[in-house]
Amino acid sequence: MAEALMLVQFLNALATAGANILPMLEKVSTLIQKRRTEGKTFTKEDLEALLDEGDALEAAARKQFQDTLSDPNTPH
Amino acid sequence: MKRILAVIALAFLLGGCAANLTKPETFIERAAYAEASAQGYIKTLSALTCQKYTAAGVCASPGRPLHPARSVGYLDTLSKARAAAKIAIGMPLTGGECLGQPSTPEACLALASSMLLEVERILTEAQTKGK
Repeated sequence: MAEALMLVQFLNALATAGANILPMLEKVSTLIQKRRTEGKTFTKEDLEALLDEGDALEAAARKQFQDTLSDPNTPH
Repeated sequence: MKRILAVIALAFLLGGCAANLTKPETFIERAAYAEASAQGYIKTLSALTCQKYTAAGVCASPGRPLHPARSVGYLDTLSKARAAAKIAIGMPLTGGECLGQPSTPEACLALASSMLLEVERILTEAQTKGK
């Protein structure tokens, strides 16, 4: 019974809270599965490609924040 | 609800599995899930941060409760978590240094996970305030 409740809670969480996190997890999950289907493994090169995307995402977010901070209307 | 998702994400990082996501079987795959979580948190942080203020100093976009100065700090934490995961995958099994401390690959990835969970907690609070 407790496990069923946990499952419901988990599904609700996926439905309501996963707007940004879940798609990223699914992307990795899909690639891992693809590699296994190909008879291969998820490699360090696969991870490095993901890390490069993360670097770009982090840089874009940092620029967004800095741009707003440099706006004279932004309270400090 | 978000807390549950975060715990599940952490379970993935620690080698568990849930729902229809592919269970990680290698350290590299667990590190990939950590990185994916970090990227999701960066997107969430960006979406919750005010981008434009009015001349009166009020955020012009409703539902974006975070001030960019605070968000820079949270982004720094996410950056450290990502760095720890990167260090972990390059670290010898016998151990090495992780963010200035002696560590093992497992401990270094666990450190990354704990930092991700800390940011998740902050973002959950911010999302609640933003509604």
